Amino acid sequence: MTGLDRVVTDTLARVVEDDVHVERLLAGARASGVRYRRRRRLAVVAGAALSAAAVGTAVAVAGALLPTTGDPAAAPPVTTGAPSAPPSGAPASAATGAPPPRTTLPALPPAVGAPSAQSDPAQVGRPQLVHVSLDALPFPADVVQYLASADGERLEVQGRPDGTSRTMTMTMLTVRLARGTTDFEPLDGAQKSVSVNGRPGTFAHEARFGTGTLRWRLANGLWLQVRGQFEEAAALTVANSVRVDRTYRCITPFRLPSPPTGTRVDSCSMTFFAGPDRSTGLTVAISGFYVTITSDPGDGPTATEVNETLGGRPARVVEHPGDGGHQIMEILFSVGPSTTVSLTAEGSYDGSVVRGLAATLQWIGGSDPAAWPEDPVSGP
Amino acid sequence: MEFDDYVRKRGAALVRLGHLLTGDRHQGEDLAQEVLARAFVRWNRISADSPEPYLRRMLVNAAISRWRLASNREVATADPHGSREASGPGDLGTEAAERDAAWRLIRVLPPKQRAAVVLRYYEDLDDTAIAEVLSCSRETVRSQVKRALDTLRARLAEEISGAGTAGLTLNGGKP
Repeated sequence: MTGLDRVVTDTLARVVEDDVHVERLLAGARASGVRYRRRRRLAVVAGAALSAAAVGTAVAVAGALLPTTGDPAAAPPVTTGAPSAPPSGAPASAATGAPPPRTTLPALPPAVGAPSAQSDPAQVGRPQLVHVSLDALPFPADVVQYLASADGERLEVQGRPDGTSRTMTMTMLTVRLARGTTDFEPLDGAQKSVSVNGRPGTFAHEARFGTGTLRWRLANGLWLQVRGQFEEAAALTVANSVRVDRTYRCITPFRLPSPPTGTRVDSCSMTFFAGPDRSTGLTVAISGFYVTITSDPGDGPTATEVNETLGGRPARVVEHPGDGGHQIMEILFSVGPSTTVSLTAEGSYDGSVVRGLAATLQWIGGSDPAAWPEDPVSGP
Repeated sequence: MEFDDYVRKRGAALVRLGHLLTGDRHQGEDLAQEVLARAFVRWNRISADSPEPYLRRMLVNAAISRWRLASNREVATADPHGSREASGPGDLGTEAAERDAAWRLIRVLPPKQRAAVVLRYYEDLDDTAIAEVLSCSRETVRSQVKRALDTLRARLAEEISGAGTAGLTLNGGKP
């Protein structure tokens, strides 16, 4: 065993030393199992990935927020309780050569002419539109992710260690907007009534984990929630910075020019990392099955992994049991020296249809999302 | 074995594996609960065979699937429970810093590489068993682990040297 082997082994063993509350796990699994069985009967299978993600995160929310406009370098430093942005102040970043964190929220292309969530709540749940954003980032971010689906919209912000500690203090915030609260993380812990911009809300604090959840109703049939590891005051600060009066597009750097009839977009995500890297994801529903198509920075399959050629692209195609034992199909190929596209089909998929999508996928690429197609499942 | 008995006996191990696969204790609990809930629905069939490999495979697939469907890149979440040890002076501080850095880097590995590393170094599975879990060849397992270790070796050395910490033994103590 090498020194690195020992470091990895020790690290993994030490990370999971905490006790596990088995009876709580059992009760939760049984309750979820009963619900899951009921959902299966109703054949409600889509969007499960977006639900029930309990966020146990350590969030250090700034008392003062960073501005969303202007030159990041000109942004004032965060003061109260926030990580020490800007980037040059982060030794870890300097040591690893990692790009500096974002100090402004990356903007999506505007959906010109589309109504806002407030003026038309029914627009929330359309997977190609995003209405939720923030006036300011509560902390410098390494990852900002927008996700839209029929279940609603989600904005996640992840920070980095503050650069002065070696204890991995991370920062994370989840903002949700939906027409119902079914898929929101639960209001864990002690609850109290609060007011958000004059609207009634509920703040819940789970003291055991330090997790705060603030939920309020924006309008009839429109709910917002922010969740992180914060107290009431910081939660309200973040809540007051949430905006839903602008509408953006969730788009991808590729197009499916000839999808099967009836294909519809089920969900869409755009993820921005520190630096120029970004990832996108698009799930399309095709007569009883779903295909998730992602673009991601990184190398594609190696020469020895390639086993098919699709649309002239060397690809890796595999089929194997996925979650729950159901067969899934995965296709992976490169669209450039450092970008990989993957397609994953789940459900009662037709392998020839999935191969057809991969073969005809039109890569647009480029660094400017404004140049990407407005609708990825139709013609130019 | 009844479902309840199995969870009481092996549930904690699933949560810990979920923690390592997701990089976050709470997401690990959530994932283990989700997988057990799915197993609950078809427990009669699962329990007729050995449930352990089946559930381990479900957990790994669910972790990778969640990562993929959520955004195709995991948003590594904070993990206060995995980060209690601050670096301090001396060898113990060095080891803690090394573990902190290693865990931070393991958490941002691509999910299949991370799964391969966790299955090898935490679950202590051999290449054949890992290949079964990941539904790939042994060669792919070796490739995934090698890529992960190469990344960890390079990044860990950068991080530790950047922090001015001495005394690492990443090369087995050899110069």
